[in-house]
Amino acid sequence: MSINSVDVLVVGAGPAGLSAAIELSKRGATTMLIDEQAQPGGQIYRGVELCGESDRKLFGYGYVRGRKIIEDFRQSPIDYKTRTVLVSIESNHVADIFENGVLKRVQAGAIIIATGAYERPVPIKGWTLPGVMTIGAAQIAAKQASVIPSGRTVIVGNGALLWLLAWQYRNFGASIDAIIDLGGRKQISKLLRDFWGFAASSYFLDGAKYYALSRVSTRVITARDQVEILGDTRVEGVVVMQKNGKYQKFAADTVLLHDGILPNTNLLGAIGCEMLWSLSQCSWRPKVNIWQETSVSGVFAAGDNAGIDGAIAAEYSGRIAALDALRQLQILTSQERDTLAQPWIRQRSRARWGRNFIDAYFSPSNTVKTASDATIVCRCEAITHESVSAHIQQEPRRLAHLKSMTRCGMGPCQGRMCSPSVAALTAQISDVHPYQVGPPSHRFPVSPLPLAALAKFDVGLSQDAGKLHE
Amino acid sequence: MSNTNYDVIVVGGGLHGCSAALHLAMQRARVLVIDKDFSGQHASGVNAGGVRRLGRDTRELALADASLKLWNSISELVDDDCGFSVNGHMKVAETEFELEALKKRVAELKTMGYHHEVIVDRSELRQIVPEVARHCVGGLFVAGDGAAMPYQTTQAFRQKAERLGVVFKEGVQVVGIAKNKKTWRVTTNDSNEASAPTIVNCAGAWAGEICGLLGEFAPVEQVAPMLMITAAMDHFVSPVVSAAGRTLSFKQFENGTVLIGGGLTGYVDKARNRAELNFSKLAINARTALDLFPIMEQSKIVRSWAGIEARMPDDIPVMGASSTNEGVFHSFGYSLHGFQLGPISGQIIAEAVCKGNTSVDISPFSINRFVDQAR
Ligand SMILES: Cc1cc2nc3c(=O)[nH]c(=O)nc-3n(C[C@H](O)[C@H](O)[C@H](O)COP(=O)(O)OP(=O)(O)OC[C@H]3O[C@@H](n4cnc5c(N)ncnc54)[C@H](O)[C@@H]3O)c2cc1C
Repeated sequence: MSINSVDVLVVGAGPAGLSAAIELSKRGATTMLIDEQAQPGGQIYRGVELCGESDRKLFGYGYVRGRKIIEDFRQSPIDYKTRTVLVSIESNHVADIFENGVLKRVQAGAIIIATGAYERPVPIKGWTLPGVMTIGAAQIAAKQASVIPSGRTVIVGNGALLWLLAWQYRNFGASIDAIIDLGGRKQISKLLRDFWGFAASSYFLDGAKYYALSRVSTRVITARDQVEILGDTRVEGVVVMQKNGKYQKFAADTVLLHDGILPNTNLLGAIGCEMLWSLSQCSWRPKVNIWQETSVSGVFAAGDNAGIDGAIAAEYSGRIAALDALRQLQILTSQERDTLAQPWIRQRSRARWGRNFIDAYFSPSNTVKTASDATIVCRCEAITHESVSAHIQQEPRRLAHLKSMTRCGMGPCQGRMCSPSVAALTAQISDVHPYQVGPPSHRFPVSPLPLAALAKFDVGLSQDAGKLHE
Repeated sequence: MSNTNYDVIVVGGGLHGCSAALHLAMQRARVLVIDKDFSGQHASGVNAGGVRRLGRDTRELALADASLKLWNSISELVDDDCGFSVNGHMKVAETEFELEALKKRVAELKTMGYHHEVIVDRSELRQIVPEVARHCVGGLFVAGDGAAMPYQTTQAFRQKAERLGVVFKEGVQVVGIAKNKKTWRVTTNDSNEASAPTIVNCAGAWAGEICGLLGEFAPVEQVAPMLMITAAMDHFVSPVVSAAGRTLSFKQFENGTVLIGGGLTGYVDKARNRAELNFSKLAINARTALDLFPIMEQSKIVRSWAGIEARMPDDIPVMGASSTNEGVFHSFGYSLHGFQLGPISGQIIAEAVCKGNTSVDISPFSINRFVDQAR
């Protein structure tokens, strides 16, 4: 088998990955961009290329921006592979990718990981029932196939995206029966401190509009205690319980859940990049330098998987990563890199304005803390709140221990869906800080790989390697 | 760490360190275990869990037999079943030639008085392992072998030891060992010290470095055996299956997932204290699994990993007293198959420390065998 050689491999076709790839190819680096989706755009600009002018309002301000990037991208000489995932990375930037059912090896000079974010799980009772989906999944259905749930829809959760979706649904003419707001009490003093950054930011006008419009046009209930989804075989409703024993019930055919988004660090973790705990975002992120380079040399993290900063910061961080990769490849000198980077570094900081306010305003509600005993925490392995709690009481503070003892995180999702909950539970039960629990451990392949495809993988090792050493 | 209150300091909190600590505590010794990471983080917590005598080096068989006795009543030892179950181990022959070699092995074992390995023909093989590929001609079977859960086992040994008073100190590395009259002074990288008259070196893949601190030589190679696991499948195989002519260890768990390994190695990244995978070698493993089990055609790998393990040039461990230092004992170098020996190794070390002689002959494992190389 021949090994494909490229200057830079970019993983993820969202704003960060696209911007990085455009910049790289523009400056003469051979660039391969892979993404598991069939279309470029990532989460935020998903389907932008396919949708007509009339769908514009569905995307809000991002529409024009997303279209522009994708047009530039389409005109750049980039080896773009759709429906392709990164399976593993070995030392010296050797990457194994899975494309169209075939595992292939790519030798890269540098690697930029731009795999975005994913939604924090909301493990309340009933969250695994049919009829429950995440806000993100609802948004994908809307963007890709213009599918809006019919019947009564209740949204439960917290986070900026929740209000954006409510606004998008409204534009689509869909009705939302109620929004159950799980956002905790706001710390006014902290919010005030960060407010001016927010007011000056690009989020302010649009964001405030979505939020305000959705709040006034929909029934919003603030829930500070327990919320449960009702139903035996599928969703029937939502109940909000109060400490004084009173409760309110809402009938529903669809329940949409959300509790903010987290950096998608599975790949970075599996590569062995050092992780840091973000206090303001309550999540792990890779340690990166000003060029977005991780602790593993030549491996960059750009966009939301390096910390949730939004689509505009993602563009700049992708470009900045590209510049340093170009320097490492000796296509640019350090001076050239610095000159080119200067305005973008400023833009990147500018795009981060307002982030602290948003983070503080929508700080995660970590519903797992109030979940009942029988609530599933790990979906892959069907492990309950009760069983995780029992193990935490035995030996707190170590996620690796809990993984081995409870199997939380050992299923196909590799802990994406349970490690934030397990960490939050551990912190609560044993009264430690979540960072003391440690980052989840991830292993290649970060998404399931057919054994038969692996069996056909041949990079010219002799068959003898399979023989017994004796 | 208090300075003088220990009889024994065990370096390394893997299964062998925990087992030594437990058996020493059962002899009323006051024991401190020090681990640079956490107990079970390395080989002992991430291995394939095979409890196997099948195909073992004949020099280890007496020890393995004694260990199996302990496994069979493991709850009595550690108050936990360790997930141990006995479903047999089968080594599959793909050719007549391989089967002949297995038959020779059985004959050799008979002369030594061992009868646990038995030859099975094509149809018996199919009865015990119905999904095995058509071309397989027979195999070698040990009905009494089994498997356990590695992390759970290491924790069970550790917790039992703690209940008997053993102190565990994790996250600190032993960086210096010096003799002060009759006691050993052990220095850790948090600038603490502890002393005891006896030291047991259970440092696994790092045991060579501990020997280095003691001025003794042991040719420990650090290797990174790899494993991969599939999404759950309907139950189709009970025994652990290996192959006579290729590297394979193949086991289906109760939850339906299938573990594939056998000893192909990735890379040890010493600086980052991690074992890295080599997918081109995992591919060989995948081919072997598919060749032997066509039913795997539709399976999916959900995770793979590697652990850092110690390997000796002759593939048998180092056990027993140091060749140079009084009061120092070794238990390391288990060369990819040390999990089975976990329960017994601690007992043997406790006997060596407390009585000076052992219930199973461990002379083949003496560190003295490397003395010539040291020069
Ligand atoms: C992937 C894999 C699969 C395997 N499958 C099987 C199997 O199926 N059956 C079987 O019988 N065996 C198997 N083995 C082998 C078995 O796991 C090992 O032989 C056994 O666990 C070794 O135990 P140990 O206690 O010697 O080493 P470890 O478990 O590695 O423990 C050594 C400990 O010493 C600590 N340490 C080292 N240096 C220092 C220091 N300076 N200061 C403080 N602490 C220190 C380390 O942190 C470590 O925790 C497998 C191994 C691997 C890696």
